[in-house]
Formats: sequence, C-alpha cells, structure tokens
Amino acid sequence: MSIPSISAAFALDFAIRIAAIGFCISAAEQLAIRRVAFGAAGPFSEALARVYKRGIERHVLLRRAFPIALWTNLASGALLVLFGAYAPVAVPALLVGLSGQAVVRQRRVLASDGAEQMTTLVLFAALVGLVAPDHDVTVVFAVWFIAAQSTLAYTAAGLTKVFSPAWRSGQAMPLIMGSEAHGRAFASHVLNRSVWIGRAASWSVVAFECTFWVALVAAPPVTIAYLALGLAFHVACACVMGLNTFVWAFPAAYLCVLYAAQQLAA
Amino acid sequence: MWESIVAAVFVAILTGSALNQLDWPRWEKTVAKYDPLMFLPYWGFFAPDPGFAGNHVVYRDRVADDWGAWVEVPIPPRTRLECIWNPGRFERKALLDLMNGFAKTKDSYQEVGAVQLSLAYLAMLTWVMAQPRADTTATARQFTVVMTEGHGSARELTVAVLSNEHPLD
Repeated sequence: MSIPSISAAFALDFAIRIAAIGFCISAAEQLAIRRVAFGAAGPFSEALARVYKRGIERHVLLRRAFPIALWTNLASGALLVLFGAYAPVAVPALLVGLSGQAVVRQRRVLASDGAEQMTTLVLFAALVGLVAPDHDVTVVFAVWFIAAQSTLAYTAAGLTKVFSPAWRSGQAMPLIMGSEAHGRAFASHVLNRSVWIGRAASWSVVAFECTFWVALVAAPPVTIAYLALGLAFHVACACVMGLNTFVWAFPAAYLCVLYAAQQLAA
Repeated sequence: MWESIVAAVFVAILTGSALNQLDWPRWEKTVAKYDPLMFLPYWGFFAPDPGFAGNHVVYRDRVADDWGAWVEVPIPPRTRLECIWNPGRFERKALLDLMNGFAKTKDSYQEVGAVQLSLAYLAMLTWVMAQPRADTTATARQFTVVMTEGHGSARELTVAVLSNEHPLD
C-alpha cells in the first residue's frame, strides 16, 4: 500500500481546521449555557472565580471582555475552519481566538479537559509557526511540536494507567461505565458480564496509549493503523461517554503525527 | 533568528508539558502559581483514579426551627445527542472537579480541623449559597454532596460531603 507523502503546510492546515471545529463547538456550547452556568447561581459565576482569586474584580477590561469573548471565539473558530492556515485572516483569527480563550478561562475556573488543552496547544502552535515573516521552517517546527505533544499525551496517559491499581486490575473500564458521569447502562452491563471482558477493555486502552509512540517510528501502514484506531477510540468515547470535543482535538494532530513519521522514515 | 525563537518556545513548552506529567509537588506548586489557566497540559485521562461516581449537590433551608425539603442544584442530565452537542458537560465537569479537589485536599485540611476552609469547599459553598431561596424568611442553609455508583435500580448512594449550617444573608 502506497501512502502519499504529505507536507508540513498541509498537516498544519488540517490541524487548524479540525481543532477549530472543536473550538467552535465548545464556544457554542458555552454560549448556550451562559445565562445559567455563567450566571450568579452557576458554577462559573463571578463570585466563584473570586474564590479562586482570579482577580476579575480588579480587571475592568477582563470583565468587559468576557461577554463578547465567547462570541469572538465562535467567530474566529469559524474563520479558521473555513479559510485554514494560509489565508490572511488566519493569524488575526488565531490571536483573537486564543485571547478570547484566555478571557473565558480566567472566568471559568473549573471544567477544563484534555480536549480543551489540546485544542489550545494546536492553535497556539499554529500561531507561533505562522507569525514569523518567512514561515516555511517555523511551520515545520509547529507540526513537529503538535506531533510530539500528541505522542506525549497518549504515552503519558497510558503510563499513568499502568501505575494505577484500578487500571492494572482491569476494574477501571467497568467502573467508568458504571458511573452516571461518563458511563452507560448497556456498556456497564456488557463489561460486567465477565471479569475478562472488563480486563480486556481496560488493558486495550492501556496498550493503545502506551504504544502510541510506535506510530511515529513504524512503517507508514502501521502509523495509519494507529491513527485509525485512535479515531475509532475517540468516536467511541464520544458516543458512550459524551466526550464530544475529543473527536476533534486529538485527531486534529494526526496528520502532524503522520508527517513526523514520514520524515523519520525518510 | 525567528527560527531559533520559535524552536526555543516549542522546546520550553514541551519540556514543561513533560514535567507536568510527573507527580512532583514542587513543580505542581510552581505551575499552579504561574499557569493558573492550565496552558501546560496534564494528560491523565481517567487515571490514576478512573472516577467511578456521579455527583449530586442537594441543599435545604432552615425556616425558624424547621428544615425544609432537600432541593437539588440543577445540573443538566446527559442526552442522546451528547456525542455531537454536549453543553451540560461543563456543569457536570465543574462538580466533578470540585469533588476531585475536595478529595485531594481533604486529609490535609482535616488534620488541622479546617475542611471548611479548603478552596473546593468554599467554591462549592459559594455555588450552593447562590441558589434561590424557596422561602425568603429562611435563615440558614445546609448542603450535601451525594455520590452515586451504578445505573438505574442498581444505583448505590453515598453521602460524600455534609456541610455545617451556613447563615443566609
């Protein structure tokens, strides 16, 4: 099987557009809950941010910026999805989006997750890579950075699970599926049918994450197989666990991983 | 010139990200101080603690000498569309973060008898005290966090946090 060689420029363009889809969804979701969740009786109220000493009461600009930050996040994300990395609007949209994200996070102390962190890192890397006047080389750096961060994410998650008694014993997946927060009754039922099913499910996740670095150094078909497995994993997590933005945040980095693997192979 | 700066930025962030994965209290304190927005990632993903509980916050108000009924702080339930559109995840995750923060610091605060001064407790209290009063003459409020395990009729409930009585303004 012949896999076409991809360029760093294409990998970064893909990463920005896919990450920006997740960025838009997240901004739109927060806009949908802003009156309740960001209101006085919500978990992201000004009073709660003050408990964490975020200093929002001292920064008038920050307070004024917050109501529009979710809208500017949505708009800048949409521009990035539509026009990608190399349109004149890309760098301003990345700047506005990342600044807006900082404003929102200053207020929303809680409820960040890995998808949000990965999206921020991808968009930040793109901004740093694209802002240089002659950015051919810095784009390559950005792509390598995203590939490395993606590999670190899976490997660190896998190794942390190896050292966790719940994951080592194979109990973790049945426990997660048995929870109201991220589980589903049917999935819990399946995993609890036999102790071996639970163990197999838990250890499959651990094995995939721990060995993700192989995608960087293996032959291209193996890399593709890992990335396809990763995509299937995130789609399954979205359907069963409700982790919808992970589907965009992590696969956004996949062409950067493929680019790095192709460069290492060459 | 630009290439060197960009390379240095990426190497610094990658090094910081790698250090952030280690269970190193001194580093964690430094990051908490200088990176409150959590730009440097922690890639735990349901590890080491897989997180097996659902959480519900309920509160009740005291009117004169009687306690009223327990009322749940509204948190959106999960939906079938959540694989695409999941706005409720923010509020559910907020409660989960508060409970994780509470569990992490509970022992150290308990040693000095000051659980109610922990950041997670104060944040939870702020959230609960901001809920509307059913009776305007209520003078105090108490809350509890109920943890659930399992689904449907097999669901087991445990009281994870039971607050003291807090006066209402």
